[in-house]
Amino acid sequence: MRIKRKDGEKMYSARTKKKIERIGVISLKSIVAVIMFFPIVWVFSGSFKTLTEFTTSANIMPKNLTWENFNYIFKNSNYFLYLRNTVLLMGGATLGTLVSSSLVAYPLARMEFPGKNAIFAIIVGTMMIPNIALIIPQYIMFGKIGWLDSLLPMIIPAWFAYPYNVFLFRQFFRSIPKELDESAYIDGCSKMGVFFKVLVPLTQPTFVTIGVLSCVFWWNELTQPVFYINSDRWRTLTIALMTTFMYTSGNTFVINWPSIMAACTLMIIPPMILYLCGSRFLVEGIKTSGLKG
Amino acid sequence: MANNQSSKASKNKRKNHLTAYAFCAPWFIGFLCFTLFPIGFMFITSLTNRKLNGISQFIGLANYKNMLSSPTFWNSLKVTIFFTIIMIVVTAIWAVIMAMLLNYKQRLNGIFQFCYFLPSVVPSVALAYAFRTIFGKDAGLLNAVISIFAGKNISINWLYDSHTVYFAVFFITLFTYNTGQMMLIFRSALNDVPRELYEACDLDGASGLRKFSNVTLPMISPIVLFNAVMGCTSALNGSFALLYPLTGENGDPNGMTHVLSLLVYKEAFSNMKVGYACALSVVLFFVACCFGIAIFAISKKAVFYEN
Repeated sequence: MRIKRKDGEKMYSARTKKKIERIGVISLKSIVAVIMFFPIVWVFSGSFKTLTEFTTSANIMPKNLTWENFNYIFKNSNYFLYLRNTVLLMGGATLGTLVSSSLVAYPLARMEFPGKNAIFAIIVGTMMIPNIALIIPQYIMFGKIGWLDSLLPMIIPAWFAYPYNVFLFRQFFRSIPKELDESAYIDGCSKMGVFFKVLVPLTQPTFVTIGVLSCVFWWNELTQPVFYINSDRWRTLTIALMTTFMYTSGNTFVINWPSIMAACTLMIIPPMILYLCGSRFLVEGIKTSGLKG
Repeated sequence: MANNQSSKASKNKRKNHLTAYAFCAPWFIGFLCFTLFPIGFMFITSLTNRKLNGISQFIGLANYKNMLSSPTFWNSLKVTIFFTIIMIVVTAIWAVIMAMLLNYKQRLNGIFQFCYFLPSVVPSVALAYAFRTIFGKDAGLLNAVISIFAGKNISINWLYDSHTVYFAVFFITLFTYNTGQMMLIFRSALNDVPRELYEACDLDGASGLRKFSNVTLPMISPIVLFNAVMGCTSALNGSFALLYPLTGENGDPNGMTHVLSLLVYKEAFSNMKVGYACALSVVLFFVACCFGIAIFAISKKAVFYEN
């Protein structure tokens, strides 16, 4: 009798312990979530504040909501030109890398040929060279062929396969069973046929994944446009955020932060929507990049 | 007959090899034009006094001599190495914490993961501006929050004060793409750790910390290595995109955040010394190589492979 009660007590305390642990973990999770989320909330709220409110108080909720900052950006800068440039860059580079990287990854995942391991080793090795180290010689090179001050220095290399994307495609292709290729060969498919009729249809989500990753990358890219573009005509949104929107803030002594926050809000929303819709693809792609082998 | 067949097979084989090479051709052309050639060109240009307008003259190792006697360069090198190492460590720890929290199965996990990863898709410029105002002296959010707790008015210029700038900058690195990427990779790695190992630990009565250091860490060490390699590249690459809008091309305050990439940009475009900038790029290139070699050397000792 006594033992039974003790047992019950023990079970009860174990359950409360478990409960306390769960509450502890969920509150920790919430704290981290607040930390990770507040810069975005700050930008959103800042874009609806007036300049006086922004420079005098640190409220999260603006007192008087105003759309003036967005109007200001649209009126005082070629916003839609920058948007067009960014979309052109994003589209051109993403399409290029999808086509070229998948083609290059195909033999690396599927065929046996001399030098395969060497090629793969070089691809993995070049993944480790930071782009910024080569940007000055590339700048001179692109200057010689007259590509500077356009989107070409960023779009054209994308059509020649990015190592990182080749690596990702290879990982995904290897997850498709090889027997499918063989049965396609028996049906009389060529190598090209297997690629287009077996691998591409079966790895459509992969193309979406790498496309989403690439779109987010190019939408956010700052370094290369800063080096390659200097006229207003080809400015992307990221450089406009550093130059035009800063200068159009009127008074040179006070930066018009609310209007910059409005521009930031407009920049954050598209990748956020992309992430909301394609989070499965994005997460899958990044996880795959961590696979061994 | 047999001979004929084998020659046909070898012909077929050669044809297959050619097809494979044809598929690899785009990469190879790109590698030659956009990687190998620039590397060679960088070394050659670093030996000239090339200006931004294209006038150049061979001056031997003078750029390197100037560089080695320049305190700005030594400061930048130091800052680059410091920044890269600390950024890898800080973001990796934060990523592991987030991954472990998310792997504790609970309701609303999807929403939490969304919140944790969201800053990663935000452009670094927007992030930099958000934090320039959050860490600002007047009407900055952080000062306002601290003032409430301290009960008096606090006005620290977090990003321009030499005591607080590193805290502020490394805090901001927690919101970069790098961290989100690491978190997701760690998450799937932690999921792959066999449950039985933890159960064995529970039987032995091991504490949470011991479980982490004796089971979790060795099991995910190959992934830690991968993340360190990727983190190193993105720290060297991303430092420009983050610090340029955050602290400017001079790496304020007093060059404390003046990483090499910022110096390269400044020398090439503000001082128009492209030859000198190439010499700096060569150093940056070797710094990246050294980090790569160092990470692999450490990993040989520390990484545990199951098979």
